[in-house]
Amino acid sequence: MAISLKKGGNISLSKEAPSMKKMLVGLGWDIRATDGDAFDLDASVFLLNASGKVRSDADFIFYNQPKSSDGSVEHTGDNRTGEGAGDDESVVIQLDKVPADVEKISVCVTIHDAEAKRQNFGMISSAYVRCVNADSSVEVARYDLSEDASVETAMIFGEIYRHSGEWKFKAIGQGFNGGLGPLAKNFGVNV
Amino acid sequence: MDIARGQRIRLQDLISSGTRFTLELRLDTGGLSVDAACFGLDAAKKLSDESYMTFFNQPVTPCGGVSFVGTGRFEFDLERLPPTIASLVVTLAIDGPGMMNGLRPSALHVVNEGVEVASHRFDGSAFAAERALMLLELYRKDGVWRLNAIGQGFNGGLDALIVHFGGTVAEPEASPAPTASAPPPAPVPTSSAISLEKRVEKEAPHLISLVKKVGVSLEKAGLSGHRARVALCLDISASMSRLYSSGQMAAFTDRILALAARFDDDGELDVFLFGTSVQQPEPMDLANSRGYVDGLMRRFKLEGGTYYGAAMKAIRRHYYPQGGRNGKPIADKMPVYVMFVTDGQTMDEKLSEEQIREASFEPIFWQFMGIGKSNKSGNSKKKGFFARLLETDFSFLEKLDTLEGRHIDNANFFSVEKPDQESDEDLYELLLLEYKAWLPLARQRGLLV
Repeated sequence: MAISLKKGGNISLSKEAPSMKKMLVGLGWDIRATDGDAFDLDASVFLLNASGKVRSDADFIFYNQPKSSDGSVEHTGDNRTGEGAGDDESVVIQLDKVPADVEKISVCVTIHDAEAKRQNFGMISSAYVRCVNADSSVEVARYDLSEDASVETAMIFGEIYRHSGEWKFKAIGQGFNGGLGPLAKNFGVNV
Repeated sequence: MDIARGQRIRLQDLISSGTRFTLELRLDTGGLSVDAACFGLDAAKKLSDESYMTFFNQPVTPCGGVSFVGTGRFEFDLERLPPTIASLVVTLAIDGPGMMNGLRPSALHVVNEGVEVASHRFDGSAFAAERALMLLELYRKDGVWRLNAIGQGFNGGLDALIVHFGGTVAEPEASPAPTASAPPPAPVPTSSAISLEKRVEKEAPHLISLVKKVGVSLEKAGLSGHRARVALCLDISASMSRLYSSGQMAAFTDRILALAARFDDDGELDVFLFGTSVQQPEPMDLANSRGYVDGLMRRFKLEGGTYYGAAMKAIRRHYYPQGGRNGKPIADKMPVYVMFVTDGQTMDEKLSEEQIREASFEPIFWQFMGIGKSNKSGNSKKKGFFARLLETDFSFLEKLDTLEGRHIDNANFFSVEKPDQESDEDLYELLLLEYKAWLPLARQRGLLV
C-alpha cells in the first residue's frame, strides 16, 4: 500500500519495506495532448555527504550521467515527451551498495527548459514521482506533482537518509526556482 | 488571489459555499472573434452527453448546473450536476481569422456572491498558433471540486477541441475539380451599363468593383439588362449582433446593393429589418450607401426573436397590398427579388409556411440565406453529434424546396458559415441560380407579363 506523502512526512523504509535492497524512483506523466512544446520531465539523484553536498560531480546522476561511479545508482534513460504507460523515467538505487560516506540521497524532478517554455507541473496531466521497492514492486511513497506542485517547475521530491543504521525516507516536496542547473549547483555540483 | 496558468487549487479554498459561483470572462480579443463554451465531461474526459456543452446556442445544461448568461458569463451550481459529469472545461475558440497569440490582456474572474475572489489573467504571449483554448477546468478529485487554469489549446481550433473531447467533425467537402474550359469571353458592356458604372464611380466609388462583377455574373446567367425590384430583408435578432458590429453585414449589404444597382431602374434597394417586429427604414442607394448599415444599427435595436412570417407578410403588403391568393395570380411587368438573410430558425413556422404559399401567386422570388452551419451543408451522416450540435437549425428553410401547395416554386435557400464565405463571383452565381429558372416559369404561370 503506497503512502501518499505530504510535505515533511517521514517513513521508515526499514519498517515499510524491511527487505528493500533496491529502490526504484519512478517519474511518470502524460504526453501533451494539446499543441505546443512537449513536456520533458527529468528525474535526477544526488548522493550527498553529511554536510548535504556531493562528494564530486560524479554523485549527480541524471540523463547525461546515468550511472554513479560505484554503480549503486542507475538512471534508465531520458524520456523527452512522457510517451508510454507507467513510469516514463526511472532511477534504480541499490541501497546496500551505496558507499558508507553517502549520508543522504536526494531525489529531484525538473521540467526541462520550463522557463523558456513557460511550463509548470500543473500544466502536465498525471505527473507524479514515486518510490518503489524494486524487488517486490510495492510502491512505498508517491507525490502528485500535477495536483500538489502545480505552480512549480522543479522540485526536491524527497530524501533517503541513514538513521540509526537504517534507511529512512523523508518527503520534502519543496519547490525550487531555476531548474536543474541551479539545483545541481545548490548541491555543490560544478555546473 | 491570482491564479497562475497551470495552477490547481481546491475550489473550497476560494469559495466558502463551495459549489455556487460565477466565472466571468473579460476578454480583450484584439479584434479576434472569440466564442466561449463550457464542456461537461465524463470521467474519461469525453463529452458523452452533448447537452452538457453550454454556449450561446444551448445556454443551460438539463440539470441547470451550468448556465451561459450573456457574453462570457457562466454560472455554476455544481451540486446540481449528475455524478456522471466529472469535469467542466471552459473553452475559447476563434471564429474567423487569427490566432490566440493575438489576445490582449484578458481575465477570467471567479465571482462568489457578487465578490471577485480570484482571477486568472492571460494574454497572447502565452500562446502561439492556437485557435482554441481550454482556459480553465473544474474537476472532481478525491471527493472535492478542484480548479486548474489549463491555458493550453489547439492550432486546429474548435474542430480539434471537439476531437479532443471525443467528438467527430465533418470531413471537409471535396473541392470541385478545376474545370479545364477556357474562361468565358468578357461581356460586351451595353450603353446603359456604361452609364451606370459612371454613376457608381461618381456616387459610390467603393462599389465600382462589385457593380462590375454583378455585370459579368448577369451576362453569364443570360440576364444582362434584366429589370427587377430588389429588397433586402435583414434579421436583426440579437444573435446577429457580432455580424453587424464586425462590419460583415455592411459588407454583405454592399454586395446586394450592387445587384440592385444593376436590376433596379432607380438603383434603390428596399430594406426591411425583422426580429420580433418588422421595420422599414429608408431605401439604400448609391448616394447613401456609405455607413448605411452602421446608421441602421444606431437607430434600430436588435430584437429578441426571429419571425420570418411577419417579415414576409410586411414585404408582400409593401409590393402587392391586394395580395395574391386562392389561385388568382398577380401579374406584373417587373418581378421582385427578395434577399432574405437570417441566422436562425423562425419562431412562426406556420405563418411563414402560409406566407410562402400565398406569395407563390405573386411575382416575388424569395432568396433565403442562412448564416451558420446548416445541416444542409455537407453530408450529415458523416458528422458526429458535436458537429450537428454546432449547426444552426434551418430546418424550415431546408424544406422550402419541397414545400407543397404552391403555385410555383418561389424560393431558394442556401447557407453560409459567414456572410463573406463565398467570393463575390460565387455569391452572385448562387443568387441567380434558381432565380433565372424561376423567371420563365413565372411568365408561364401568369405572374410576369
